[in-house]
Amino acid sequence: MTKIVVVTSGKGGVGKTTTSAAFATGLARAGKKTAVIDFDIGLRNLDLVLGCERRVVYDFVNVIQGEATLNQALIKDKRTPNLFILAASQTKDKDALTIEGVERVLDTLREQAFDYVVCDSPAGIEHGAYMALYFADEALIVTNPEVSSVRDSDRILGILAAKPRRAEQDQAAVKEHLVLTRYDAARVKAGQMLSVEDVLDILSIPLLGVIPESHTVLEASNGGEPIILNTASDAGQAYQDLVNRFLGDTVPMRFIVGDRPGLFQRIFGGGK
Amino acid sequence: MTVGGMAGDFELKGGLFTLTALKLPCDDVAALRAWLFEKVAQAPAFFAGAPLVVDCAALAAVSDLAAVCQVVTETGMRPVAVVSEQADVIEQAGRLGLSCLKPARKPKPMPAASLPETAPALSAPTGYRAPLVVNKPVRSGQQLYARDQDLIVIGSVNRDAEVVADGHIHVYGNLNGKAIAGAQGCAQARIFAMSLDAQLVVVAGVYMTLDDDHAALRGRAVQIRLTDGRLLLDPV
Repeated sequence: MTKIVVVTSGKGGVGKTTTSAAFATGLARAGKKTAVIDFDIGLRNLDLVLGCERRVVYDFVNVIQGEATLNQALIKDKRTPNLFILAASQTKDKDALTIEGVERVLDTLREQAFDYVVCDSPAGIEHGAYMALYFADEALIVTNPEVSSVRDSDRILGILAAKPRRAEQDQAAVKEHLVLTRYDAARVKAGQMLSVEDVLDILSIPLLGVIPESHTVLEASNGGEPIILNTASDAGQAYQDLVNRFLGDTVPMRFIVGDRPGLFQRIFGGGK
Repeated sequence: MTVGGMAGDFELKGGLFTLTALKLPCDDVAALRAWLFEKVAQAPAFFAGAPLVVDCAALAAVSDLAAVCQVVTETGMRPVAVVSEQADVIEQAGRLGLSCLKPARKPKPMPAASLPETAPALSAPTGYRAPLVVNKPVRSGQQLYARDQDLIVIGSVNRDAEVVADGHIHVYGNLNGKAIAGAQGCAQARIFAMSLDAQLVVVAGVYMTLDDDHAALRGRAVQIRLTDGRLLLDPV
């Protein structure tokens, strides 16, 4: 059965697209047939992070408006078997997304026996974000360890309890997972950032993963290669842990206690 | 050239304001007078000058809307609008210079509300109404109203969440948002929180924000009650 997973946050710039790309890639590498859809109509980014921007011919809106078939628009990832990308339109308006249109696309993916559909939500709590979460079975809430991001995530969690189809039809609630990104254990220790406990205390949802702050994330995005493929990077490893946890493995949380970098690491930079 | 000068431009904007609504079960003016005066006497400060909507949605006709409004005015409140779809009532409202609002659609249950049904509603003989119990956090942007009830939240009330009850409010978690107890004027209502860091607390219309004077109580278990027109915060 196809599971729809929305990656959302409320606030922008916290790592939704990075997480969507890494998560979808991880699922696909675990043998799950996975599609990842960019819901950020007008500000498409996912194709860049996944390094397929030059291969986009038709996009999500083309499919919804019947100008292309889903198979024409789905881009098969070159690095990762089982991974398919549906890019957002850069020229269309957000209102091009309709419940019926999105449902048709998702139903087609169901017919094609996809295991997971990852919906990369735009920031905010407007139309695009609603469309991304409306059909969700599960949700990754991406949050930075700072007050405004946590409050926006709290808001999105309230919406996730009320707005999705599952809520409208009185089905079991959308399953929520917290993904804490850009976590800097040293700054937490110095009291400059909220700790994992602080965030969990406010949001009270299960923690799926903590991704440490790392310059490798930006380099991966710019290079068009999802961070999870960089197995030398601690952020890449943290995303791999997250995917394994999502798929049911018990993996201890790493990167939440600050280590002092050793002398060599400080000189040569290491994976950080 | 801009219109409006130094103070900026004129603006017409939509706004959401809290209004008290007076629901009329019948148009018996004498009965209304007795009931309303008693109600207002419980919390005169809360009602003084308050804008009021006269909700006639349940009535097919109102024989004398002017007399109803007169009673409202005498209590110190100001009628600003009526709710009705009856042409005659709308016409009367027009003559009295009141706006006319469409009856609200049946409100959908609150989102936080896959909330348990409030136990068997009003059990008639005692008038006791079981409290509304919420088993999850109330999140930023959510509002909860326990009408004619106490409200018990097992979980936190987060920043920019709002919990309102006509009776007491208990929060078995952090109270970090807004809590409004005794919303219809019950001055005996209290607010209890396991850990208080609220943005706003209100009992029967008397409100306060937590400023530096209350730093010592922040994060502690606190009860809030109304005494001599002032809110008292005590550690529990």
